[in-house]
Amino acid sequence: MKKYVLRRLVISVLVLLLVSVMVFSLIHLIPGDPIDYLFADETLTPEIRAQYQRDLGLDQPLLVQYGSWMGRVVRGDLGMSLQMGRPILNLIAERVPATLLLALAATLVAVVIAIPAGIIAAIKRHTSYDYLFMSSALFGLSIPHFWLGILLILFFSVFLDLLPSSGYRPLWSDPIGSLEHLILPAITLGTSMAAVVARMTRSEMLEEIGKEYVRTARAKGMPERRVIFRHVLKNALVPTLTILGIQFGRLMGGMVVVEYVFAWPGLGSLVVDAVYSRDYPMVQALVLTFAVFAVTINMGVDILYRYVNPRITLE
Amino acid sequence: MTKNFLYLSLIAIGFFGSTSCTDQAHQDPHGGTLVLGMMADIQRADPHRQTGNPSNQVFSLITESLVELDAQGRVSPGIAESWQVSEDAREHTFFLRKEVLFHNLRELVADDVKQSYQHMQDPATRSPKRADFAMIDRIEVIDRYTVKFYLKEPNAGFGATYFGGNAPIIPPETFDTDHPVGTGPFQFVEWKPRQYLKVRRFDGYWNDGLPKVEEIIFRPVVDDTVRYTGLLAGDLDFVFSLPFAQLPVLSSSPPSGIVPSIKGGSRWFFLNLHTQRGPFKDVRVRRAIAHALDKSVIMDGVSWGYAEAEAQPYPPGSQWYFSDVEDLYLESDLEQARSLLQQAGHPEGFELTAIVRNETLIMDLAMLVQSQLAKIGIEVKLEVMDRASHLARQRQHDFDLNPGHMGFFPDPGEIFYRLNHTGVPDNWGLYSNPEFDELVEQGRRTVDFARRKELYRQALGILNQEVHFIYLGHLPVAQAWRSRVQGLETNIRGDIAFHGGGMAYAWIEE
Repeated sequence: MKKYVLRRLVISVLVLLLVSVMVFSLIHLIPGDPIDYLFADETLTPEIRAQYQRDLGLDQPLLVQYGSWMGRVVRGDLGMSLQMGRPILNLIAERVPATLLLALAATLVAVVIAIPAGIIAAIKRHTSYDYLFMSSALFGLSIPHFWLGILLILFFSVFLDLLPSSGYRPLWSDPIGSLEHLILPAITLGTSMAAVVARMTRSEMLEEIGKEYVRTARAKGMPERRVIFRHVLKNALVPTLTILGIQFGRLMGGMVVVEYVFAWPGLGSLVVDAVYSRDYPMVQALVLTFAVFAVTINMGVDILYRYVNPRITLE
Repeated sequence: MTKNFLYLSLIAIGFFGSTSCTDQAHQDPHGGTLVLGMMADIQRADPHRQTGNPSNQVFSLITESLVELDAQGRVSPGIAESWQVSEDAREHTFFLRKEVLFHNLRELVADDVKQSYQHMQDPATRSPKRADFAMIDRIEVIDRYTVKFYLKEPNAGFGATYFGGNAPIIPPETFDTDHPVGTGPFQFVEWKPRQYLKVRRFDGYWNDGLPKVEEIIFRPVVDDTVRYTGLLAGDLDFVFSLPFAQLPVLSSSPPSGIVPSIKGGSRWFFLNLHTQRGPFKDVRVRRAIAHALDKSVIMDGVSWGYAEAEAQPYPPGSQWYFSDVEDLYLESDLEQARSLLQQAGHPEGFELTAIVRNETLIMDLAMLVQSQLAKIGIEVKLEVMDRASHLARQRQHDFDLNPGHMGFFPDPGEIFYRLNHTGVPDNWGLYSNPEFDELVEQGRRTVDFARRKELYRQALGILNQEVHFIYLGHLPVAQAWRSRVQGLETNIRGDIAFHGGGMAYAWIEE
């Protein structure tokens, strides 16, 4: 186990290094630079422009810029945001709780809806339950977040006046307010995630149900409930867990639409705003952070496999 | 020091009726909290380092400048009660209001003005406003309440550049901090990025009886539709920039408890043609383009019928609006357009490239232009891009056609000189006309209002003949608030702080 984790850590460092080169190159390849955006309302003469470039270190060769950025990153200094003039580490730290809260809540919504729906659809294959759950899943997968979000706001906030239309409250300072603000965005995100997970659970369950060990268990007279939950579900959950991990990782960096609809102060809108404003150090730091999330979550999921299915070895 | 000054304006507060407002203010109930839905969050909490309209709106309640705009967008007293401009328009003297307190309860004096400007000018500050202050040669404190600016070049519109949040006067002891302190009607309480910014009523505000509400919370809600929904749900009391698709219903039968405000002309649309490359070098081709367009259809199309076609950058109601300017290209004249193309040697039309910023309004505008120019055989290729890419392409003068919109400037010197004078950085289409240059230079040197207006009328006449900058029309300010908000008005630009009105004058009626 230790050897496995160590090997994964080494690979992770290489992955992160590759990501850093890619994000640095890509953001510098896009036309336009931070000066165009930051000083859009001003009349910039070429002299003042050159002065700004020197101020921001943008007059240096790209390799030098990359080297000095990486030098700072390995020392734990992500630099300052060009647009906001604040340390990037603080800006990310401010947004992580909101992102994490919403990602966890959406995953919870997805699991609560999807796993039972997937199990029932598999057990009651080709019945009205199956069709209902699977067509609902297709609907959930197809519906755009911004549309579902606005519909939920119209229904729960405008017509029923039950929940706030948008905004965020920290969980620790205002738990009730926080949950009230969390419900609608979590449902919006959780719905599409549930759709993917339900379909995956159903197909994996069906695959497992058809296997010989299930026939043996049934032949031994084991109760059906036990066959399903003790044996089939446990094996079927392994790929589902992978999907959940991938989806969760995606949520940690990609809730942009939902963040805009619900004015949720997460990391997704931070990275989009940074790309738009060509805030180079901010984009680089955020993409690197997302890569760290993805690598960590994937490693966590792989380790979790072992507990879900002891036949899997991590070597 | 005995130099004669042309006395331009000495505008007493009473002239604008502040006394009656003050009397009324004492009778109005105080207290309560207003929640404002903003188009974006502020980027920085430092008044000298913030920029952009959403930020300016927030800071305009916390900090003040030498001058403010009034309801019609005219330059009016702010911290300065009055000002004088020398005959050569190089020396601008501002006479400050007395007993104006900063939120730290220290009195604002002339030296604070000087230090604030110098701080914004200082390269070390890295203020995004620095380029605007390059025209200042030096600043002199005449006495405790008088400050004088010496400019490198004449600029009669100098004062107009520094209204509202553009040049906030803040106490030097708070420079470079993230706790903004000003002299505005509200004092900063806290900012939670992307969540809210809270301000509280400042009891020491110089304008007695103001403000009336206790607290204002600015909440960034980026999407227009969501912001409007927040207003309907009662989570927001006031919203900027309503979605135009909602205006027909909102203006004819507003939902209960909602007060719509659709007025003025905050932004003006244009089509900028490159004058130094391709067929657009020939003015006949540019005129053919102008004739081919149906401005009314375009303006209706981008705004659900709420924008007005115009041939000038200022809307009716502004002092710089020219009521006698004839729009030579108001209606589409395809025959004339085809004939001009034929004369210019392009009877079959040609292809060109438009750079289009990925904003709904501009993309709609570009598509309408594209479809209308197709009628005279001109095929427009739309290159859609984000703002930073678009800004770079403009700067590099790399386009044939550049559709866009621009905000309201209080002085025409900005619009005419900055966008069209030979060789200036923002003359994206590389237009050059010595006669036009002379007119706008004279406009900068001339202090007399009537004379200036005549000069700019002539300059506009040239632009409308040369049509490298085709003025299309004005987009109204579309805002709304809940009916519990009383006494609120915004000005022609949609500002929530202006001379004689805005949030400071609003109160809550439960």
